[in-house]
Amino acid sequence: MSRWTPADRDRERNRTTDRGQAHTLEAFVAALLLVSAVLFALQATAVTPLSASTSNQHIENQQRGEANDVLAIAAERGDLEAAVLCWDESQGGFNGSSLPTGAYSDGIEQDTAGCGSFGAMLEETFGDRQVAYSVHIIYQNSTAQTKRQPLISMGDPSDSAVAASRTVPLFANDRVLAGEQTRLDETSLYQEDRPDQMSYPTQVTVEVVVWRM
Amino acid sequence: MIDEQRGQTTLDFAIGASVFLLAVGFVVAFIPSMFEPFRGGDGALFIVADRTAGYLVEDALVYAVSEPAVLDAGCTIAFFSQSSGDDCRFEMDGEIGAVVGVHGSQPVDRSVNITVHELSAGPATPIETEDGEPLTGGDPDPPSDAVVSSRVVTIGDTSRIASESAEFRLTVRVW
Repeated sequence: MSRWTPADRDRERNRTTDRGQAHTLEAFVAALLLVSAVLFALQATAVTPLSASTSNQHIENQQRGEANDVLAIAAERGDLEAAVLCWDESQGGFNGSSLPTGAYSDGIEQDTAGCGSFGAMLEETFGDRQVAYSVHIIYQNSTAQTKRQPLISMGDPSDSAVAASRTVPLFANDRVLAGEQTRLDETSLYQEDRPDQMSYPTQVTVEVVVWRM
Repeated sequence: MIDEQRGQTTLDFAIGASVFLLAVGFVVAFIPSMFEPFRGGDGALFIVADRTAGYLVEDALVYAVSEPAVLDAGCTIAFFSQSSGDDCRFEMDGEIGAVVGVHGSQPVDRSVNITVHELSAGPATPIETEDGEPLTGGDPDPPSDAVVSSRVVTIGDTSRIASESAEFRLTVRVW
C-alpha cells in the first residue's frame, strides 16, 4: 500500500466534488421514469366515454330495460303485430319504406306507414335522447336457417349496443297490411323457401338493438 | 476529514430524495384521478335504483306480471297516494321507501324518489291524476347527483290520468 500523499488527497477531493450532483440526477431520472410510466399507461388505455365501466354498464342495463318495456307495451296494444305484418307485397318491403332492404330508416317513417305506433314509441323513447335503434324480425325458413328481415335500420350498431327481443305469434288468417283483406297465408311473408309446407300458427322474433350514437 | 471531502452529500441527498418522493407522491395521487371518469360513486346505488325500477314496472304496479310495463291505473294511483289499493301486488305499510325496500332493513339508510313523467319531459314535472294528484312519491328534493334509473311504462286506464300521451317514463332516483 502506497503512502498517502497530498496529491492523493487532491485527487480524492476532486473525485467527490465531481460526484456532487449524483443523487439529484438519479432522483430526476427515477422521477422521470415514474411519470413517463403513468403517461404511457394513459396513452395505452383508450380513455373514452365508451370504455367499459360500471356507469356504462348501468346505462346499458337501462337501455335494455327500456327496450324491453317498449316491446312489451307495443305487444300489449297490438302495435308490434301490426308493424310486423305491415308488408307491401308488390313493393317487396314494408309499406312506405324507403330503404332498398324494405326497411324504414327511422321510427317516424314507420309511424307514418299507418301500422300502429311502435316506431313513434321507439323514436320518443330513444331517438329524442340521441340513442340509435334498429329493429329486425327473425324467422326460420324451411331448412331451419335463421333469417333476418330489417324493419327499422339506423346503421351499424357500436360495440356498446344492447338487444331486447320479444316473440310475436302469427296466424294464417292475420291480415297483412292493416285494413286490407289479404290473408297472411296468401303471401310469401316470413315463409321464404317454404311455399307449401308453411304451417300456422307460426312465430317471429322482434329484436330491438339500441346503442348510443 | 471525510465529511469535508464529500461536502455536498447531505444536501444533495436531501434534494434528490425530496424530488423522488415528490414524484412518487404525484403518481400515487394522480392514479385514482385517472379512473375518476369511470367511477359512478357508490356502486350499490346503481343496483338499488335498477332493482327498484324493475320491481315497480315488472311486479308491483302492473296488471299481470306476464305483461310488464303496463301499469294498473288504480294500483299506481294508490301507490303514489300511499294506500294499499284494491288487489294490488304490494302492501303499503307506512311509506313508499319502505315498500320498495330502500328505507329500513339495511345498514345504510338511503333515500328514494319515484316519479312518473312524460317521455319528453324530465322527472321534475310529474304527470297528474284526474284529481290533480302528482304521480310522484318517496323522499322530496333529490340532489342532482342522485343515481337515476328509468323505465318506459304505459297506464292501462289513461282516462284517470291528466295527460294526452300514452307512454310515460317512470324514474327512480336513489341517493
